[in-house]
Amino acid sequence: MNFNRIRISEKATYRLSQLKGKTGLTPNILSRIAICYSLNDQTVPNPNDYDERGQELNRYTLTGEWDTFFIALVKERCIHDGLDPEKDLYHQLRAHLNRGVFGMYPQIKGLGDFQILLKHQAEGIKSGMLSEERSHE
Amino acid sequence: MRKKYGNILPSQMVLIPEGVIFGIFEGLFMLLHSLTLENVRIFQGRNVLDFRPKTNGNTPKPIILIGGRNGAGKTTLFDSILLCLYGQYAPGNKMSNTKYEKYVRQMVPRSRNTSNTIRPIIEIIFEFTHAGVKKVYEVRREWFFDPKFSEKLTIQHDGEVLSDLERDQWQELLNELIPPRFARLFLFDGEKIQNLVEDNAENIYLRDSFKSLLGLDIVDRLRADLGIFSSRHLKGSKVTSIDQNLEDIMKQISDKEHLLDDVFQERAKIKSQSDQIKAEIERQEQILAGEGGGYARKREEWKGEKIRLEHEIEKVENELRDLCAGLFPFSITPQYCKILKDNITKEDAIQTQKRLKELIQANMSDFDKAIQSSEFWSDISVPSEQIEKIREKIVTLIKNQLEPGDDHIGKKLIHQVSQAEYHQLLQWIDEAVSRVPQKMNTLSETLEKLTHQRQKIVGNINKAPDDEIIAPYIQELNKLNKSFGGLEEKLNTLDTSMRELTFQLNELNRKREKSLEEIQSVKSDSKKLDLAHKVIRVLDDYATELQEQKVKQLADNILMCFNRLIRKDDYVRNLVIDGDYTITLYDHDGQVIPKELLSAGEKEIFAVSLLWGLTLTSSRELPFIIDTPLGRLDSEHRGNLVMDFFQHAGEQMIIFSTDTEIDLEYFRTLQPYISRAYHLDYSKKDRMTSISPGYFWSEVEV
Repeated sequence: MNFNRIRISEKATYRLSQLKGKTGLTPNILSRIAICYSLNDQTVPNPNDYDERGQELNRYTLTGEWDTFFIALVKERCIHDGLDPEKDLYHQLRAHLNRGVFGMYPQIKGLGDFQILLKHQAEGIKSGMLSEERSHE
Repeated sequence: MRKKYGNILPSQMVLIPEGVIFGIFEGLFMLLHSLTLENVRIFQGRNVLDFRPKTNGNTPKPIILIGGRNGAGKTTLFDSILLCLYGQYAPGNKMSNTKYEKYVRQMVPRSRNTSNTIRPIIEIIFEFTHAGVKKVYEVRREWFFDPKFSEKLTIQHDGEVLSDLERDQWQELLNELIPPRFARLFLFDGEKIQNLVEDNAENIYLRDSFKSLLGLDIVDRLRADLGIFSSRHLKGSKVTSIDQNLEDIMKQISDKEHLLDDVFQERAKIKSQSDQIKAEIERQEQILAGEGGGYARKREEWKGEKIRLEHEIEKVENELRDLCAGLFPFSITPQYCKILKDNITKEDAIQTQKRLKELIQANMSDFDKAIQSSEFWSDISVPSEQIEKIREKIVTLIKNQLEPGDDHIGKKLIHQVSQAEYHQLLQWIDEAVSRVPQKMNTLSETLEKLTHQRQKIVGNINKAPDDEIIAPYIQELNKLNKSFGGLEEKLNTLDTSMRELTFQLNELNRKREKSLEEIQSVKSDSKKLDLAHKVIRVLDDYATELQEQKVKQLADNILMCFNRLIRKDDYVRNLVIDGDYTITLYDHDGQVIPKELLSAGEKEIFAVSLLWGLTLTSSRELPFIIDTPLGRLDSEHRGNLVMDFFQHAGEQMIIFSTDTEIDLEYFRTLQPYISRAYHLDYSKKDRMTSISPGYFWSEVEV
């Protein structure tokens, strides 16, 4: 499935704008980090958990020069999860993006906090840890 | 002696009264006989005040007490003495003619319209004793306003008008007898005297009066005279050119010495200003410290540090943002990076193989053709029936190789990246899992450290007091520091010119020595010159030695007087007068006592000690004339002055006092030492003061 745009949820949009305020990073850059952060949660994200009433991101500003890399990673994840790397790609990407935003939101208070994500990854992220509910703590 | 010396050096000696030349060796005594005021301010008609002290058997009675309430004319009497002695020079520096006229007109009684016909007259009779020879001088100064303002000064000597002096030299004679600055020391106004100490100006006064007071100027003069004597003696001789040269040099020396003197004065003035400002800066800084100025002074420093930190933070943050926009996201998922790497490597191998097979397949027919041709087998001895068999075997082998292997069968390639993309991805993955996380950690730690530092600085800045509270002090301090800097700069400039002048003087003195030596060698037969030359050298040594000795003596005397009057044991342990006549006080621990820290009373006591010390050292007896002597003193110090200084400091102590300063109690204490007492009584109705014998309390006999 080819796509040029990706529409995230209303809540994620709100969280991204908050994170932008804290870090000075654009929603696109933050979304990249979110995607990768979400890949660490071994549970399969459910695209239906996330509405599409929020901000629309342009694929090429979202992935930038790293498009191949992002797509390749998400495809790998799809295969890992037993999904179709072509057919499910868009939905999975969107789901990971949304989930990643909620997962990282409570961790990031400023630009210096992204290293925490590295640490979490190294310590292992429990399944379901990045679900939206946890971000409301 | 005077005659002999005077013959040689008439122009030099003319102003020196007889006997003064021996001032180095013997004491000098001066006594005021009387002061007469005629039509001066509130003193109408002729008023005579006899100042001559009496004795009571062997006990001297030095005190002349003049009592009067405020406004009764004490200060007029006091000012009149100065005016009579120095005329236009009375208040210190010379006044312009118009200013002087205005000043004198003020002295005229303000009654009615007679100012043009009334002539004020002030007359002082004083006695000057030197080397046992007593001379009485009468100085009379009167002023005329009609037809225009003019002044007439008359000096009588032992009852005769001075004849051997030109009239225009009379003032100079008076200045010689009682140097004006010196007089300002001895005629002292209690309300102003401590300014002398407060302004740190005592070194200027000391310096001015020191040489003449201690007889050192005579040495200088003698030396100069001998120099001139030497050169005059050579006039008309063969050595006129050398002589001319020498005179030039002498003139230059004298010019330079004057210049040096001016610079020295200026320097002392600036120095005292800069000392004052320094003290003020210290004071302001103390106030500031009280207001939290320790922080305040660092505030600017902190602000700078904060800006620097903010710059660095911004730099680190930008690097972090670049990293986040770069490969950092992939660093979070090294697991999938590894899977991806494995898979694209496999895919690449498959793709490589596929491309290889395609390459071989594309060339298979050419290959087959080549292997069937006779040239292929020409150099090998293979039987022709075998050739076909071998060919088939080879082709089958290759065809088998081109079949896809079992492991790839049915496996769909997911990524199908190009060669270029493959290599790019490998490089990215490599960086994302190794270098980038490290960089992220380093940058984050740096950021945390910097942020922490900034927080601390911001905390400090917030702790510093409000700008508004300290701003006036800071402003004042900046202003003071600026003028301090300016003065220091001036001092440096003056120091430089002093060094230059000293250098030039040394050079000139060397030249003078050389010229003198030349003259000496030419006129070696002149015994007189030889002698004069020797004397000059001896005098040089003598002057140096004498000065050192006198300074030491003076310091000891001032210290003694001070401790005697202050009555605080060991308050000041040591007192040092240095080369530029600055006085430094040391306490019993050898620490400097800043004179600014003395109380007003202590300053007055210090000033009095200075004067007393000077008289003791100079062995000149001069009258002390003191106006409002006790105004600033507390009761203890008053007592000390009354009991000690007034009774013992000199042969003549003229005190102008109110009834609250020398009160009944002090009056009774002093009574055995009082020769004469006058009471100034001002009548509002007549607007004049009448002078009558006796003090405030007429029932007390004097």
